[in-house]
Amino acid sequence: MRADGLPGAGTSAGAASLEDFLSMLPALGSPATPASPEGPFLSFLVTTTGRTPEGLDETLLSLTAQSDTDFEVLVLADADAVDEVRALLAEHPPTLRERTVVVAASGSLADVVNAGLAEARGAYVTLADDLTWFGHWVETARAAVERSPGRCVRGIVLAQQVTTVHVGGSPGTRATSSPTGAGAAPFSLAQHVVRPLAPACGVAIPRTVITDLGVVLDASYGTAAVRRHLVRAVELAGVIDTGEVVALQRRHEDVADETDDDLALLVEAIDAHPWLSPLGAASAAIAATVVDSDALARAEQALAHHTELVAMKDTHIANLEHMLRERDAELQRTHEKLAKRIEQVERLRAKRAQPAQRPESAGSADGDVRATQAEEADGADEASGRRRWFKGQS
Amino acid sequence: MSGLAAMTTSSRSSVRHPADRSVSIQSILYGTDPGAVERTLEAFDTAAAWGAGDGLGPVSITLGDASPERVLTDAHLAALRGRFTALAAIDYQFFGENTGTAKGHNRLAAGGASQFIVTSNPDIVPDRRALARMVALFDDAVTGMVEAKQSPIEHPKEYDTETGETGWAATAFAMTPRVLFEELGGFDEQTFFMYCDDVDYSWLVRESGHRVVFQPAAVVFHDKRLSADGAWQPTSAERFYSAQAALLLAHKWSRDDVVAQVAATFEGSRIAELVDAASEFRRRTETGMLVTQRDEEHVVAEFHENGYYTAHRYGL
Repeated sequence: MRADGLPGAGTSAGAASLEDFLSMLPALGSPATPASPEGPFLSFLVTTTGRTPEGLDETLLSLTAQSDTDFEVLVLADADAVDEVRALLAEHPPTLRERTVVVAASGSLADVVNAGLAEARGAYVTLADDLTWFGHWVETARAAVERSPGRCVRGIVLAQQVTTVHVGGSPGTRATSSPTGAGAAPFSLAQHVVRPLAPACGVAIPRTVITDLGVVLDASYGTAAVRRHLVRAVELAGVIDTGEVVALQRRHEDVADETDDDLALLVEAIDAHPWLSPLGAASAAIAATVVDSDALARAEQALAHHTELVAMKDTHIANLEHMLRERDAELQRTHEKLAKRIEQVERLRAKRAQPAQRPESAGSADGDVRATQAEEADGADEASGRRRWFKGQS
Repeated sequence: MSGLAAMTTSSRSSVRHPADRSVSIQSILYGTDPGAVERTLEAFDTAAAWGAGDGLGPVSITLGDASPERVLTDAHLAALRGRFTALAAIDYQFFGENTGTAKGHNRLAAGGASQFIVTSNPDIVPDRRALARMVALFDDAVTGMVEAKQSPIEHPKEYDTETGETGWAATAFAMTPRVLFEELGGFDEQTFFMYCDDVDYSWLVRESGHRVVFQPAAVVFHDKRLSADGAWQPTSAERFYSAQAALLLAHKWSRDDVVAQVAATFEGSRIAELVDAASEFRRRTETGMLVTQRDEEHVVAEFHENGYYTAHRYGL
């Protein structure tokens, strides 16, 4: 059973008409307010299933480094792994330990995250699915909430392929590709249904969307459950884009992406009822087309810098090409020289063989020329010590 | 890595690996947020508390303040010392001048007694295992310098995935034996202010017959602000000093061809900091301020395309 959980609906969110749909959206246009004044600003939900210990450590390390510590961390671990996760957590600094609880949760990713959502106390919740956060995420999200309370807050998440290597016998992650930032533009549905997909994380969602509107993850969307939840939350609460890179997502080579079948379910759900653009979507789209003089200046400076790099590279290529041409010419000369030498050797051999075969022609003009060339060749090789070798060969 | 394999063990220095693996963390402060210092020290305190079980010796902190005004008051320091009791010491020097990193680290290293020196940016937050995993690599006597992996953005330099051997180490977080540091004369503060002093030191380490090693299992958090496309956004000062250092490094390591090429590019640049860097290099040349060149056979130093000092695995 799906659990998109609109108020009163309980199950499927299918609305018969736009009016029905709008009637079910109490939060739209009147943004959600922080749910728990006594709780922290933000709850991080950290999944562990299928994650490496070193990856989990790196996520927790990035939370230790947050400039704003008004947050809690819920580490979601399978019951069998709770002790191991607690032991790992015990090795982190007190500032993080005091803000962290381990939640025993099992089942699908949706089930696990929902268990965390049920325990969260923050005004906002954010999913850390193999993410390393930059140190200003909490600070950035809070500043955005102060500008636009009640909306989802979205940062840019870069994705990077990694693998595991062992140096000195210890496991460590090794990045194997450049960090890429799909979905850096203001939020749009297209980023979440058209490949390459924007990351489905890096968003702080008002907890009231979960507690008051009952929007939790729906396991029936399988690998697309997190994305479905994001789209649904944005649909209900709106979204503000911070424009800041806030996290890096490690993508292991052996971990599969969302499947086409699950994404098809997501498209089906979006198609099932009218979609209202998130608050501010039109302004964001317009802003993206307006010339910003500062941004233009920065872009021009960056362009100038890149142009120079390209020029340097061009110069380098030109130098290499010049060297290559010189080498080619040298090679050609060597070939020509070699051909002459071979010709000289052949003539010398022929000359040596001549008296036995055709003694009557020893005094011919042609023979004189060959003799002269052979003598010249012998003389030239004397200095290099190869004269005897030539004689030995004849 | 190129060059090293050809060297013999006889060229290695006399570094030994003591049972006492004491570590001194050196950081240069410059207008650093005291909150960031506190986060960093808490993480080191945790590392020190757990470290003994991993073979780590006493961990002490040495802060050098190059700011115009003190970043930490005596009250700050007393509070930090009272809170972080697993650390053997938290020492603090107010330099009263902007020393840059090379001179600052040399000054902090002078008079120290730990077996290993760690250069650390002041806003680094280390994983608690990082120090122990770095120290462990010095069990191999050929190791002369170890760099930790920075997170979230890992440096794209190439390294051997089994030995960790690489061309140079960034001193944002790197460890070296004190005896080797002293043998090599520390960082070249005459030449470098705040960039490429680490590349230069790494090459000195390799020139002495030791290895520079990257340890991806030693993770330290080093925050960055990136553009939306993931690119580094240098400040004006960073552009100038990195450009200047590039010329000075190429000169020192006998790559006059690189100097000529880069200087010509900088001089014709529309970016003011690059023009200034070329001008400063010319002034140093004309006034005899450049150091004696080394590595004339080009065995150690590596100058790759795009100004890199070792091969990169991917663009950043």
